[in-house]
Amino acid sequence: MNVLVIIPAYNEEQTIGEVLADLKATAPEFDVIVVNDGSSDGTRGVVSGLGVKQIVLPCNLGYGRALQTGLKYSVNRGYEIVVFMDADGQHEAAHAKSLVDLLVKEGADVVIGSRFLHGSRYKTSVGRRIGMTLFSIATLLLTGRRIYDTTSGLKAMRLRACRELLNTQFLDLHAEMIIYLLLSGFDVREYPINNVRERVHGRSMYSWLSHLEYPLKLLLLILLALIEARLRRRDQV
Amino acid sequence: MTPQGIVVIDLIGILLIVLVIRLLQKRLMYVGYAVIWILLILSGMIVISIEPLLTFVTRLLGALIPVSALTLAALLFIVLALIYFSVQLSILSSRVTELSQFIGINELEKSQRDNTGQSEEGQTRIL
Repeated sequence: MNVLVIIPAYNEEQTIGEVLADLKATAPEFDVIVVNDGSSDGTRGVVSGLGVKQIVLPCNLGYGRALQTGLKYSVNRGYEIVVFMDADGQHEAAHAKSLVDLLVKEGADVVIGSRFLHGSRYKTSVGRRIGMTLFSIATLLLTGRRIYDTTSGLKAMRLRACRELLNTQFLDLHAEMIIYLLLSGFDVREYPINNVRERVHGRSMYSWLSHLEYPLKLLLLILLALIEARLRRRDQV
Repeated sequence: MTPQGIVVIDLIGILLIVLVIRLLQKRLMYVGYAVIWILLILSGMIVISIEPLLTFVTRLLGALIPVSALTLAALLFIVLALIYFSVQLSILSSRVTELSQFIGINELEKSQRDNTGQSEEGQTRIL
């Protein structure tokens, strides 16, 4: 099975090398593509130096659109499984491998690496934790399935889910994606990941302003996901 | 509206039309937007300058005095203009995204093709 690991990166020169080296050592059978989202630091040089393929975007489009770029590439190339991983060194390559194994073994469409499932001990700020809990509850109420970590950057999905996502609007492939896919009949699961590290270098993509803006955007996109999933079901009938 | 008020508003309207034309000349405004602005300014000037037309617009909007009607019309226009420009910005933003993604993916595929070509060329030479 051909697997592509997509790593969106914006100014991650200090961590991307370690992430790529870990992937090369742990999962050499996976193809890796870095979506360099208009970085102004040495990210491009680090990735080139390691001989890893990268899509260099001429300007910064944002996390969601960098993911979308990777999705377009993977669908064009016909990869059967796609793994999304952050470039900040939070995730281990072993986690990515576990998600792919689970996807293949269980036949799921999407597997999310969960930081909050079965004793995973990931610590984050109270504000973010409240937001995450609220979106997790919203997912439960709207789909009947509880997904504990809706904002995880580590997830694996099959080609058919990737194709579906390219036809929808999404923000950062978080709760809006999960709700849409669940309501559209896709099998979305969670897998506990431990040893998730806190960001050491660089800055988070979420500024204080985006903490206000993000939930509102997400709510609107969840509403859109509900409408689109309903229309999709009606078309299928 | 007093005759003095009509003259002042018409003068402002003429100045705005000159501004739009200057922006068009300097290529700072797209011709399509310039036409929209000029038509709107002209229609505003015509409504204000012709008394029966102003009275008709006031009654149409259910206002008691022409000033209220004009304020309401201006507010409505501003909201519509903002929605229109939000749509235009979103379209342009989508185009920039698609273009950037196309450039990024294309560059990668081109470099991959070049690398494959070079290695094939190398193999041919060795053979």
